[in-house]
This record gives sequence, structure tokens and C-alpha cells, in this order.
Amino acid sequence: MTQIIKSTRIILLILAGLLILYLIWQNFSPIGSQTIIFDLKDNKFISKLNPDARITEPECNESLCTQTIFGDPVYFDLLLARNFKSLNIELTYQSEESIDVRLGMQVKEGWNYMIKNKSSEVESNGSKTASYSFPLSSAWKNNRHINFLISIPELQSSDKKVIIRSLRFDLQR
Amino acid sequence: MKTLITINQEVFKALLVLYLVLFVLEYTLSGFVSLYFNSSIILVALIISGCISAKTILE
Repeated sequence: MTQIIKSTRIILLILAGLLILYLIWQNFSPIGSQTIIFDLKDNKFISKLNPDARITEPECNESLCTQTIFGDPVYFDLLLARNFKSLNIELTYQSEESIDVRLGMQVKEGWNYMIKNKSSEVESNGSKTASYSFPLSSAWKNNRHINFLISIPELQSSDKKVIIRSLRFDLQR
Repeated sequence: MKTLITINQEVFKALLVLYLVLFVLEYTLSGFVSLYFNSSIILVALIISGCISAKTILE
């Protein structure tokens, strides 16, 4: 009887220890990377795109969601679970014509953004995937949140629209 | 049967301590637990184990 209780205690202790170790590793791991795919549905790490006056609500067709940007700029927050050095963002979007889509990362309090043009772009199945890189050491972090913007200046002077399909974030140590 | 009751009591104690530890960690370091683990799983297991313990004690 006491042997069974002892064994149960040891097993429970090991399981609890493993869970705590897993959480410590996830939060303080000195190596590794994190990939976040934001498919416009609720996400713990990415806030919804805002303000509503410049972007439509997500329209979901089966598992695929889209949002249409018709104003400039739109914002979102990224929650950093732990410290990373660099960030690569892949934005998948659709537009009828060639359009300049930029991404910005807030670097100081107030309206101070590091605006980047796409470093590369790939087109497939009518969608374009543009890549942007940011050094996270320059980011202004507000309670572990970093604010980003999607800037499409052409939207201010025309009736053009851009359909956002997804955002992929690759965080590196 | 008695062995199972004792094991359940041990599980209950372990889950209670673990849930409290996770709660304190989440309270002090926001997101430490919730970003990677759903602690409701522990709470549900704790409630079930507690109900079984209470029932066996009453019997």
C-alpha cells in the first residue's frame, strides 16, 4: 500500500516538474525560434487589425478568412512571449493592380515607426506574399506588445482595395 | 478500492498544489502559463478528483 502511494507521489511529482520545466523552457529558452501564423482569426499573440473605419471585419469562407483594407494605415499588435532579436513578416494579400504595401514597426512612443518596403515578393494562385524584416532591438515595447502598421499610401487617393489573407511571423533569437 | 481512494487523494493534493503554483506564476508573470498551457485542464481534473474524494469520505 505504502509502495503504491510512494510510486503515485513520484509519478505526480515528475509530471508536475515536467510541466513547470516546459513552461520555463518556453518562456526563457536561450535558443530557438517562434512562428506565428495569423489567419485573421482570434490569436493570443496578434491583435485584430484596426481601426474598423479602414478595414472590413474578417469574412470567413470555410477555413479561409480575408479582410479588405480600404484606408491607410491599419495597425496591429504583436505580443512577444520572450525576447527575440529579429522578426521576419510575410504578408499574403491580393490586389487587382500592382500596389506598394509597406509595413512599419513602432520604435518610440507616439507616431514613430520604422517603415520598410518589401524585401521580396512571390506570387502564387493570385495571391502575393511579401516579406519584411525588422530588428527587434529597435522596437518600442509596451508591456511586451509591439505595435505595427500596414501602410498602403495609394489607398488615400484612389478607390483601390487590398485583400489581406494572412500574416506569418518568424521570430529568431 | 481503498488503494484507488488513496491514489485519488494523492492526485487531488498534487493537482491542488500544481494549480496554485500555476495561478501564482500567471499572476506574477502575466502570460507565463496562459500563452503555452490551458490551466483549466488542471482545474477540471481537480474538481473531478475533489468530487470523488468528497463522495468517498461521505460514504
